Amino acid sequence: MSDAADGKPIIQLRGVRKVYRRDQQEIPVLDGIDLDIAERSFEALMGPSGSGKTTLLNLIAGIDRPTAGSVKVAGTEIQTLSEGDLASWRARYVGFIFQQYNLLPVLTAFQNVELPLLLAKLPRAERRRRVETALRVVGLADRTEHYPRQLSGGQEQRVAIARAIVTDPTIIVADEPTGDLDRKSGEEVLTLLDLLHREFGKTIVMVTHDPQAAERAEIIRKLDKGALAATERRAGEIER
Amino acid sequence: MEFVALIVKSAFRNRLRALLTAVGVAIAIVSFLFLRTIVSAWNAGAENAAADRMVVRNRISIIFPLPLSYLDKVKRVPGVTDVSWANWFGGMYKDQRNFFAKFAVDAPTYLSIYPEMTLSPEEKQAWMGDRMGAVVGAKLAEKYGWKVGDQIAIAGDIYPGDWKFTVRGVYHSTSKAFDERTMYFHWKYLNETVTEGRKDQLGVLLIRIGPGVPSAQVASAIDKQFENSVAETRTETEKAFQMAFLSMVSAVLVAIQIVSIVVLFILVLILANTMAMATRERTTEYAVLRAIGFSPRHVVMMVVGEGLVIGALGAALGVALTPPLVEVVGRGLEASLGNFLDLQGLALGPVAAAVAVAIGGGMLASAVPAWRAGRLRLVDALRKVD
Repeated sequence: MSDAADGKPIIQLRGVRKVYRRDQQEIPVLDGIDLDIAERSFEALMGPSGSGKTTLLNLIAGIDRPTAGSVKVAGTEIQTLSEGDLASWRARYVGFIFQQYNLLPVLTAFQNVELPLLLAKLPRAERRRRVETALRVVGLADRTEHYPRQLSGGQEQRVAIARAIVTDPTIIVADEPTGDLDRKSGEEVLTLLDLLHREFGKTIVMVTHDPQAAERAEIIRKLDKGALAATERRAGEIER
Repeated sequence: MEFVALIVKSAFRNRLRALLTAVGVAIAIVSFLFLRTIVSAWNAGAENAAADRMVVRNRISIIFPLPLSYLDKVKRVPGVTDVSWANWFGGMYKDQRNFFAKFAVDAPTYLSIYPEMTLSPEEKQAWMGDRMGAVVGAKLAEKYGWKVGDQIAIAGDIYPGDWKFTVRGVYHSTSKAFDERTMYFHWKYLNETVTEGRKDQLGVLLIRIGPGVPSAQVASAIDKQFENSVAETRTETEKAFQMAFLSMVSAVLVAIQIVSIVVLFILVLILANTMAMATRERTTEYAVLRAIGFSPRHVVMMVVGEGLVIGALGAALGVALTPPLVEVVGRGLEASLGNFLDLQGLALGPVAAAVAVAIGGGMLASAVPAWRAGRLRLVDALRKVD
């Protein structure tokens, strides 16, 4: 286990186990995870396929529940929330970035970014202001009326990032955000995440296979067979 | 963008499928409304029948006449205020396909009992003054291009011979129950012309009863009077008389009504199939919406809303397409069946029912896919376990 490098932890996992059932068979994915992630930190989760890194990310983001243990994020024990409350909590605290962007093809870039704001009772003008700001941050202010099919992969992912930040969430979770992108676009996305972390003080937790992408994080946590195997700070120090 | 706009846009994510489904719904709606229009056309006469009018006919069958002598006896029955009579003439105008009803009537009393049959005072006077004069309904006159003064030749069948009439008036109707595709001429002309053995015979007696007079009491009094005579009578309200005609085709009407209900059931199946496909394809999309904060309730509302949108579009298309179809098919029926079935405009009731079923069906058809979409496990839906 590793404590947060700086500041108070915003994410705290204690004794987290996750077991999936397939027919009668139990498949343990995470086993006894204790983890603190500090507020305003940028962390990467790495590990081989099946190591449980995406499962860990899902638990932190509140889209899955632990079989045992507790997940406390932004002061809330999220495993105790109902589905409806958990959805509201996600809307308030978490911004998602997926590997395959997952934009709605029938909506323009503007409308895709606006989606999470439909849940908040905001005046239309305020929604517009926030969406335009988010798109400006990701450098797509001139692509508001473009549909996903009219954008490159990198641009689509930047729209997805704008969608993730438009509600000004506390935490941004990114699952292989550069996995489907070429090197240049991937670099742009990582630079953007860096910017969100440094300039806007967002806590970012990113799952990645790519060591170069992980290098952008302050802390790299390595998982193996459902357990935290190592924590690497960018300075190069390795904790085991 | 508002939540409703998101629902509408999502409904047309696969435009071709959404439009084909809406067209499918529209076809079902058109079929339903068309079948209901046919049923309504059959029932129109009975539904709009006057409550104070009764019909006296031969008890054995309507094809057997009543003696003229019954007229005075019926007039004297307590409660009866007016009496008229009419004989079904049959006959053919130029060709068998030119079917329309022709009645020999006692014009003054007939016009009195049927005030919904309107003629101008001049036309009325002209008809009364011409023994061979006839009046024709406005639709009939329009169909054959007849105008006042024209000669009409009818080949008799029930009453053999070549019959000549002069159009003295074109009547209009103020009631749905009284159609404008019939020809009326003087019973006296018929009675004077037929052979001796067929004189002084009446097809049916048409009576009006006073306000508040129980029709059953009048019917009983009339029929009792002619019990054990050569021509026993059957007296019934105008509505019952019309219904007796309908009962001859009741099996067909019931079949049409069943088919119309089945059509609505098919409509719901079409929508259910589309909504099931649409939600299955978009499992990941719903999971993403849930992940970014949409609750299960929001997702359910979206899916049900999409069903509603497609159902409503289909209903709108169907309701818009039905009147022209009824018009075209009505003309076709007229060409093949003559004026046997007068298809009227759409009735509000069936339209409301069809729209309600399309919209409600859309929502109902979406219920199961919506429930599934609302309950999906995000991790499974995002399809990544790593």
